[in-house]
Amino acid sequence: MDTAICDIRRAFVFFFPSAYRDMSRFRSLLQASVNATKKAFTWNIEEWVPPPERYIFKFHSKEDLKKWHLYSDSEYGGLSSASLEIPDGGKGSDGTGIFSGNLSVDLSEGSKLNISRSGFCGMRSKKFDGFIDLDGYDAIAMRLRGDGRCYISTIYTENWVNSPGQTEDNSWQAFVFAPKDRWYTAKIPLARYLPTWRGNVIDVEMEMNPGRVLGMSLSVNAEGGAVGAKSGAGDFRVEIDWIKALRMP
Amino acid sequence: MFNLFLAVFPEIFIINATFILLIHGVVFSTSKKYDYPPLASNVGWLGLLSVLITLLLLAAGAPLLTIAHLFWNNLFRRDNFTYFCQIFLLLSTAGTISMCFDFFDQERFDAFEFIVLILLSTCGMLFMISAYDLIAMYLAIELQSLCFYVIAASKRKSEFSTEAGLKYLILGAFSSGILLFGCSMIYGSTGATHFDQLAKILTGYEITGARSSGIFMGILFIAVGFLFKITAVPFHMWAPDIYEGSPTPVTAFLSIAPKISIFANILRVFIYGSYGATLQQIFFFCSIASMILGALAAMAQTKVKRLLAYSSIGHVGYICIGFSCGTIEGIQSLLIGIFIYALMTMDAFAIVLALRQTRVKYIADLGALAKTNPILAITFSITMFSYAGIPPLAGFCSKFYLFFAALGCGAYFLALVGVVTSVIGCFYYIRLVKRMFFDTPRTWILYEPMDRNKSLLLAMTSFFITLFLLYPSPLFSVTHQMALSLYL
Repeated sequence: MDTAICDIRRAFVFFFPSAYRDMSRFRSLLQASVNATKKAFTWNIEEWVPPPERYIFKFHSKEDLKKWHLYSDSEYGGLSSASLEIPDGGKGSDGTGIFSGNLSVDLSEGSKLNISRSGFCGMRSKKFDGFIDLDGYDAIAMRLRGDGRCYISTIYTENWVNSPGQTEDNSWQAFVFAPKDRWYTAKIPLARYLPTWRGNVIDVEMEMNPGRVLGMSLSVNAEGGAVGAKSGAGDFRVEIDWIKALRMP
Repeated sequence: MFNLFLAVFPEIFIINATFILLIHGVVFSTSKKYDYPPLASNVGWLGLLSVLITLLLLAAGAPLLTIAHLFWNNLFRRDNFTYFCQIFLLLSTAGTISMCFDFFDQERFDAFEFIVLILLSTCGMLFMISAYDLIAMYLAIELQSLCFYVIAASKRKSEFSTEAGLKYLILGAFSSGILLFGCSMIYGSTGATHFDQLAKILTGYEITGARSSGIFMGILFIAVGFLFKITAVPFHMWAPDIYEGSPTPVTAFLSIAPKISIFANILRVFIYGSYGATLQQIFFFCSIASMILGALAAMAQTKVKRLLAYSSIGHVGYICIGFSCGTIEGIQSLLIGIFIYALMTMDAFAIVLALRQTRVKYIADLGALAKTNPILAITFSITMFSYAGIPPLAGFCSKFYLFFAALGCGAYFLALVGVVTSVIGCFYYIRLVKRMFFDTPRTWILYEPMDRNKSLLLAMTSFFITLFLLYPSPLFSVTHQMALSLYL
């Protein structure tokens, strides 16, 4: 019985190759709608709301690191450097990402782009086709072990009032304090993220649209930051385990 | 003796009230002496008062209306249909304005222009209902829509809300454009824009052999424009996004008031102006599709406002059943359906506004309602059961009469689809009720008691919904009179 069906299938594929592709697409569509109907009919309340917390980024393997790219003021003529790596500690999925480097407030000679403040490095998640939907969450949590510096966490949301040719997205920034040499889960409510533009805080009361998040970033500045945190030029190092979205009860 | 001034008095009053309130708002909210007060509640109460005075002026003009009168170069007409329809519109607007006061306080919403725009759009809707010419109809539709575009985007801080307002603008402007294109095609093919003249030309035109593709396309485009505006399927695309993103009082307005006036216009144009079988097929299809989509899509929704958006799309489908019949019973059932739909929607949005402060965005957040606020839970359940069409509530009466009218004119498939989708709809409405009463809550949310305006409104509407079955004859006779005067 089974082999008869296999034969029929093989014959079908042989004679109608394009139809087989459409059939499998149709079958997956059918499966998806059956699943949706089944989900709608269950009384399970947990599926009605998004889960109370959700991973946005993990830093456990090399694949996770590929989603990020680094930037620093060396693109504008500064002398800072940064790197993001997972140390090979034997166990594959047990690593944590280490973002480290050196901040320098000097500008190299002869650079064409003049920037007034130097000394920043950051890692930014790569743009992908689609959004991160954080609608229903109201805080970001990060598990960090740092060096006492104050880092800046940025959320990029879609900007649909851009003039053509300008590719910058809305950026919302908040300070994250990474205490020295101990693991700490930083919880930043989304309301604490301030709208900024090219590094300066915009003095306007705006609400972020968390349903259209394009990416996040973690960066460090040579100056500025909270009182009591380490600042200034020099080395920096922070280990990150994960970034999650939380809903405060 | 027919006195034009007296006939137009309600509109004159409400326009004057709008301007006076606008001047009052501007002068006092920018005055340093009074320390720049936020005037939203102040202008709101005055606006509510002006709507009620307009209602009084309208209702007290009754002796004029036993005979229909055309006025203003025959652009408008006042008869029993417009009389009752305008009273109903003004009552709904008054109810919806009274829901907003708490919203102004708690959101620190200090734009008094919100109320001024609502009054102006109410005036536009009054004109829409009494419009008797394609041009007058279009102008009134534009007056009403433009005001709504602005208030839909009134929450300027939030990009999500501005996006919803932009979508509403695009949708509304596009549908007005299609409507106007249809009107111009009809004018081009027939040379007439007045409904009396159109009725003489277009009634049964497809059987007299005087077919013209211009007329057919014109009627089709006007129908599509109207269907966009009442967010019927397949023209409903952005409606859930608009309903979810706009501030909740604006959503309440959007789902009640324009629908009343657009349905009044649909009745005028298509029952009186161009009665024929052309549109029956379109409205058949749209009502079946709306009912099916409203029932199925609402099952998958997790947020309260989107659920209400899809259930209003579904209800529009039921109401279009009444229109598709084309008989007097059908029109009567449409009018009863609209009346009960408006009351149920006011009820539902008053409850959503009352719960908004406690961050109820998802349906699953309703869990603790029965234990902390049982009366509100019972009221919500009554509203949901009425939406579902469960006897002996008012929603059942309206659906029953709609299906009855459909059966009476031979549209058996329509009635069958209606009944089946009602049953499907029951599922998710009852799921809401189950969530409120029988599930353990996810987190214990303490619900704040609501203010007096909303509680009065909820009391009146749920009283009506519960006890309508005992004495339905006033509504039935009023709507019968409205339907008859539409034909005569």
